[in-house]
Amino acid sequence: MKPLALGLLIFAILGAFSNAQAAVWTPTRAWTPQEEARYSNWVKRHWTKDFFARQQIANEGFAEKKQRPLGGLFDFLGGGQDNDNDLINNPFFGLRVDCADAVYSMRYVYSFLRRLPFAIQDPSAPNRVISIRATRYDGYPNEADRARQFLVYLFDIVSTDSVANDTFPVALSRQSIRPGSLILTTKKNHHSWTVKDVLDVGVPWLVFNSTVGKDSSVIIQERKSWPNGLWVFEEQDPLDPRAGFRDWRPLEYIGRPVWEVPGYDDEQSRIEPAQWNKIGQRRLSIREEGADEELFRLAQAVCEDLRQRVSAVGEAVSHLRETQYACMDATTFDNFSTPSRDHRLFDAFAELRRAYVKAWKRGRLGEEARIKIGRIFPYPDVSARDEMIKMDTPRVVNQKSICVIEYAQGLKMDMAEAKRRMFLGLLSSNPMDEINYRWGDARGPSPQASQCPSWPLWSPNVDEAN
Amino acid sequence: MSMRPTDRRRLILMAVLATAAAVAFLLARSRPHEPEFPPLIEAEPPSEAARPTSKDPGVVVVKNPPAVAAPAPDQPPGPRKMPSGPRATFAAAYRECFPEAQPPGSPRDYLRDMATRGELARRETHLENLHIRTEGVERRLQSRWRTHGQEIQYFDVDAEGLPLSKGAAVLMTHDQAAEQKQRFLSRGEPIFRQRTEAWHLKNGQRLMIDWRDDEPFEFSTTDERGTLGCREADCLCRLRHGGRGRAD
Repeated sequence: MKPLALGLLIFAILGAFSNAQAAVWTPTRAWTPQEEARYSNWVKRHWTKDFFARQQIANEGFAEKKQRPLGGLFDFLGGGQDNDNDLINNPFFGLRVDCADAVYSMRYVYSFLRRLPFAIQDPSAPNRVISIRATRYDGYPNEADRARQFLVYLFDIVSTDSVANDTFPVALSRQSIRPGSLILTTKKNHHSWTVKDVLDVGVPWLVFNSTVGKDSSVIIQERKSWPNGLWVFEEQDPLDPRAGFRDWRPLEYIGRPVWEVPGYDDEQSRIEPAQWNKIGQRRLSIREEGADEELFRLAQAVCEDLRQRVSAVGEAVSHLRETQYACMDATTFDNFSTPSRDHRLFDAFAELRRAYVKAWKRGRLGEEARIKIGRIFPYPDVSARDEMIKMDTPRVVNQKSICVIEYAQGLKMDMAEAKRRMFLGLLSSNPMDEINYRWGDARGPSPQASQCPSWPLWSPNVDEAN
Repeated sequence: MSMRPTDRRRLILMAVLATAAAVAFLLARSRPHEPEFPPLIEAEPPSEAARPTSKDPGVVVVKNPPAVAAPAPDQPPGPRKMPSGPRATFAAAYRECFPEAQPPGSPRDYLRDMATRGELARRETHLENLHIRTEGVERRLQSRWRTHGQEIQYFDVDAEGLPLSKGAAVLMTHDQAAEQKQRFLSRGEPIFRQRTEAWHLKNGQRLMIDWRDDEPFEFSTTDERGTLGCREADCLCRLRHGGRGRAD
């Protein structure tokens, strides 16, 4: 063998050996209580709805490995492309996530940045673990690339069902619920939110997404309000206390019975779902929220939901037109319909109305709230149903309007009109309906929707808004 | 005899490459030791000291009988001794949770009694994992129950045992899902089956059961007094005082 070829062969063999069983990344730290506290701090400061849209993120100690000896040689051999600043290139830039993906990403990204162990229970094989020991991405010499690919791989196999395997229910207290926790619903509604923060007034700041949201944008959603307990715990089985606030299992407790996990508490499953929000806010708050402060916070949550509905319905209508209005199968129908989203939007309106009526009765309305929120609920002295009947004329956008949305090209409505249409049951969640039906310009179902199979949709029970 | 320039260049290049390879080898050897992950399969039953205690004064955690003592120091460690069978552990926890009732022999006996005595009003499956081996290759099907159907997702398995999704989960009716599962199972040799389900009894009691290869791997049941949970031979009774939730 010629000397050059022999030298290259030696190099290749030893180079391959150095990378054998490389793992996605090699942990250099452990999940100590200090690290968990740092994780919470990181979520609070850096886990934002535009995380996947940011090209650079804080390195959180990731770039410390630049201090290795022969750092330049290490880079040559496939190390990171870090810089020495406080920011690094975001390895996860551009990823699109649904609700479960967002939950796992929050923990995974931090684990990567801090070189901590990461593992989940294999959703398809309950006696096995999936961890960063996996070598299937060894072909990517750059650690950040391996981390990205492995996360994308996880997206394909995790779901809200698997979230329950890797987390555990906690007490409804400020000690147990922290930035970095999450909320999971029952299987019925299979949804989840990450907890970015808990506000002083006892309200969770949630970052989350949905299946349709995953397709529409890399920017995910947020809200500063409680999800409706009746929806979170709908059809709850007390033997399966999965719904409510949860936290991450220590890795040594993956695969163990959930009741063995330190901090396990099933009390949320024993609280009346309709009281969960109220009890939770009282326990999590460290100061009282002012009436106007609460009203505009809730109005902001409604506005976020409305804007997201514009995107979701837009995606559905685009798909409908692209497929020439062909009937949808169950999966497609489920992906593009909005019964859960519309139910959550209605709940948000209902919560806002209840807060407005309470403040009105107590004479605590500020001038701005009286004008702007009052436009949405002009009859606080009657029931929600009677108010709905009285609001028989469309609300036109004017200077008192808040949250003006363009729901179709050239067509706008404000929050007051959206509320009027929603409460009248005009907003269609059927993805076979065209945009005018989806937003209540016409009352559905449309002719094409009537001709196609449909799956259960949702219509409001206005009395729930009292 | 002097070396030709070409040969000299080749020798230098070879020396550089060999040095680089040696350095790479040494660097790989010097990588920090990866913290051990705990074994997942056949995890040891937790000792009494490891049992979590609830902060809620309304909950009393009743522990298992203690595990067998460790061997004397001058003897080599022998095979780990399990607690003296399902009968002792299950019975003790069962008596704590249901003092009026005579404990069945084992969790399997308990569940069989429920089913055969006609106490079962309804069964609801929540999740199924089916594994087959076909032509030496493992394949998996997962079924997740939803309100009006099941989401079916298929997986291949790579050399490390990692599942590889064969596409997004597809929502289908229960009949379609049953047909898919039958077809899947007929394609190979079944090697593992998991099913999690809820049993609703006529007296209002509920059980959650995790079946693995038709054996009750884990189950729990609850009433106003508390919750009995068992994983194979290891059981725990969590008694509850004060009724539903805390008064706020």
